[in-house]
Amino acid sequence: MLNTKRYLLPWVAGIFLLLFSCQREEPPLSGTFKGLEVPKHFPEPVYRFGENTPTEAGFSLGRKLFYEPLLSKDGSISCGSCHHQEAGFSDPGKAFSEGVNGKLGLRNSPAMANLAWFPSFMADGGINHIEVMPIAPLTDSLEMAESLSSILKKLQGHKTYPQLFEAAFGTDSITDQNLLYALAQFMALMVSANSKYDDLLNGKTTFSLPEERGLTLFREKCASCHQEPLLTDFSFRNNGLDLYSEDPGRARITLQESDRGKFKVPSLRNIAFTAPYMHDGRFNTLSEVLDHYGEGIKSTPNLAPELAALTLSETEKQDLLHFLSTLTDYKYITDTNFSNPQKN
Amino acid sequence: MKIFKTLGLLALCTSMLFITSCEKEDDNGEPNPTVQKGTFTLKLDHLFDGNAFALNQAYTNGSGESLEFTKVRYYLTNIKLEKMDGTVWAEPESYHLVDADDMTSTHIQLADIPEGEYHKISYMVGVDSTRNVSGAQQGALSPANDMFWSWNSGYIFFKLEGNSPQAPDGDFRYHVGGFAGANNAIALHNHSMHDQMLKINPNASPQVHIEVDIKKAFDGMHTISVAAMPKVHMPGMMAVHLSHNFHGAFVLDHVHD
Repeated sequence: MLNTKRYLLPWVAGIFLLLFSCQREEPPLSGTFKGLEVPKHFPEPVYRFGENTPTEAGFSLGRKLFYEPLLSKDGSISCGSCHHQEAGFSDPGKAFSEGVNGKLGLRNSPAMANLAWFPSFMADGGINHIEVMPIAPLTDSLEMAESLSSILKKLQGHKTYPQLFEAAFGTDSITDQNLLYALAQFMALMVSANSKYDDLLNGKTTFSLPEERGLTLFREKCASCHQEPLLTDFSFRNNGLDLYSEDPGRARITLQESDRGKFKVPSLRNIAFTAPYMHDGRFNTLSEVLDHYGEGIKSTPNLAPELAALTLSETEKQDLLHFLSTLTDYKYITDTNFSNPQKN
Repeated sequence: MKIFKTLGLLALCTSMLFITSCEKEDDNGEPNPTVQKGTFTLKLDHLFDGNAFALNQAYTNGSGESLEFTKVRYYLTNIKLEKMDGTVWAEPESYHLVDADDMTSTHIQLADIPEGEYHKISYMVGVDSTRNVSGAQQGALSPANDMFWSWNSGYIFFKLEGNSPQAPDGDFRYHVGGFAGANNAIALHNHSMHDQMLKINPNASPQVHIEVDIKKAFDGMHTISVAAMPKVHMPGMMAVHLSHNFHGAFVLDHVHD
């Protein structure tokens, strides 16, 4: 009896492995999967994964789902449709992105990087956890317009997803928790920490004179909100775009008029590639952004006090532009581990 | 020798299985195989103004508005029982989604309760703040159950929806939630059962009947009119007012053995 079992076990295991390897259509990740590695010049991340321990299978599944148009109501768009890697996972050139049926969203599609450090999500900070973040774009009628239960049905009936969920979570019965876990694994591991700026902090490079002057100016005039090294303090500020902001911003969540027109301070990582800028994509270039901070700030009652007396000369703007270009992380925006697996 | 050990272990495990699950004993720290366990049913009877409630029936609230409900759903969570000596039993993973349209959801089965007489039952209508900020949940708390705000993270504790000719758009929709600060809409319920104690033992299947009078959501501490306030869809003062009213809707009717 025992002997038969001993014979059978490797066979059964072997057949299982064979099944999985045959059905694997994903290209393998490059390098060894190490989970979340905290860059040595970064603080501790906010997201600790809890029961959602990252694995290579979970991360790969999250990546596949990120680029999966099945998640939208009519199968026309995926998360990647409005978050392009080459643009730092923003939607280049679009003030507002198109959802299903060509409907336009209400705010500019944000760049994505270092999300494991985010205490809140969205420009108004309404979302409190990385795992539940995707529910908003998945279900918003202006975005992917699909219900979670319908997504689960589509994935369950798909030819490969049940096996991929089995490999990642030990069960081929697909739940929304595991769907959100996989997406969270992918998103949380999207770490951008290899720009020239990061190299400078880690003593691996030196800045040109204009870049250095830009960094000094940045630390003097910008870094109180765009706090280093994540380049945001995640607070909500009104940066004087309008005398009266039609978009309530943070007030949409808090219902406090004193929060009208306040938006989460965005990280500046990969900023050279994430145009257009601001919550409504009103500025097409970084020069326009700097012109706003130099001379365009409206003195609205909710204005961030730091901005009331801000001035920028033309040479200062040039130096700041040099500094901002050091924030591009070319490794991040070309890393095939974050790319659409169907295109690799 | 080995065979005796194995047999002994087997017998032990079998007996444990009969008495209770091994896991639960580990949770309490001190295994005590002599404690007997029992079950009970928490039965929710939905009423409107004291009469049996059903969806798609016409009712009238205290403001004289005609109401026809299409949806009544709420979270009943964190169920606890207390003995006279202060011992508390808390149901593990105690999250239940009650739907007036689903009879089985109105009969909550509770199991694995140490035998004895309990004089107090408590629960929440709502979801504790922890689970509102802990990411993707499962089971009753699964976001796919459509009781979760995607854009303003948090659970919808209860939904009352329906039609009324007095509502400006012909319908009313109350989605009530909010777990922080002044917007906290979590309702804690405590019922004492001194008149008839809840007696848990392995041979009984007692029931605790809670009456939920939906009319109270409109006519309680605050008067809610579908003409004046047809929609609530986020945390805030209106949601808190509705939670105050809905709190008054839950009354312990009786316990029977």
